[in-house]
Amino acid sequence: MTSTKPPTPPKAGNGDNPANSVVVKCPMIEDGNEFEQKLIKDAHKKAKDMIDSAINNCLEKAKSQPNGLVSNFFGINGTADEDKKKLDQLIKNYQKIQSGMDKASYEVEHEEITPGEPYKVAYVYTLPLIHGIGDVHTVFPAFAMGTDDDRASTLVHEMSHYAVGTEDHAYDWETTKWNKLTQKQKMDNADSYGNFASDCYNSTKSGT
Amino acid sequence: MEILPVIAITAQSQVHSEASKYLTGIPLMEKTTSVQCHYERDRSIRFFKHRKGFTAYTLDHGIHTVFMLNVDEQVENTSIKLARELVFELRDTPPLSQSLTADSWVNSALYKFGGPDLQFESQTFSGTIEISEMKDNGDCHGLIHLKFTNPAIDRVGLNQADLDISF
Repeated sequence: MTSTKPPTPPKAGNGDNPANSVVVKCPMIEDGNEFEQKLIKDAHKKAKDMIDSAINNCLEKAKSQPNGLVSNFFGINGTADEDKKKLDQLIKNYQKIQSGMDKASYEVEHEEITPGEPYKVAYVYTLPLIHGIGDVHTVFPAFAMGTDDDRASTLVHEMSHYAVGTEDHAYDWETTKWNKLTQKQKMDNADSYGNFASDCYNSTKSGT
Repeated sequence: MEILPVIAITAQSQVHSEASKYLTGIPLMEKTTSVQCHYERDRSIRFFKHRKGFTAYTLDHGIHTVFMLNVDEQVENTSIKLARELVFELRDTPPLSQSLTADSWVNSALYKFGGPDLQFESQTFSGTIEISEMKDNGDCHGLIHLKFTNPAIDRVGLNQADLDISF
């Protein structure tokens, strides 16, 4: 196995970067062409913004005022002590996901799409107790097919498996399963984390 | 006693090999497929557009039988889950263990697949369905040979998808 050193972040205050600028760390990406690497970098950055938004614009605020998205995705409807405990747990989980994103490295894979069959887009290896191990695997051309939001939301979804150990109880488009999720399952469902972060980010941006 | 080092080396290389599999990401874990069928009598399906663009549905009171089928493929020790969901409404209560043509028996159907995002969705179908068992607890068994065309969502341009499954 070859080892690759992570890129050195630019130093603040060296003329190119003002001392007060925000330095965005580039994730380490194994393999892939320039186009594929750019898609991953953009999705990585947007996923981090979505997670920030989930924590600061929706979950923290839901402690004092009920939030429709928090209610829809996680079944937390009020601001009672019991609700605040669940919100704190969610915030902790998103912080773990954010920390996982900071350390994430990616591997580019290629796999042909079989006509008429569902196909892999991204995945991680998961083990009991320690959760994620190794890289986040992105599978092309499938990873390139969706929108920027889809890709970023997929990374939040995968990182929730990796850093929190969430399960796939239901995807949002699986009507029967999604509608039957219990509150406990919603707190442990990877697609709830990915979609909530995306919706919170977009609703904040649009001011709704 | 002399073979002990050999055993140790073999064991060590096996451990290293296992670790390498994880770290290099070579997909070699076992794939498992699970199929779940559930039915409800005296129902009809009402479809509507979800705000995200895909088709969702609710079950209303009616005079037909609605079947909901979920097929999941998972790869052990990974987050890979490829999912398919089929919902269809059969006229009245269908006869058991007979091949029913979709044209004559299926009022409406919706087939979707993806993982995690939705990749394909269609409501245009042809083929046959055979229901062999409908248990009192809502479980069902049978065979489905359906071709779905004219997709409303088709992320990579597949144009059509076959669903051949025994459940």
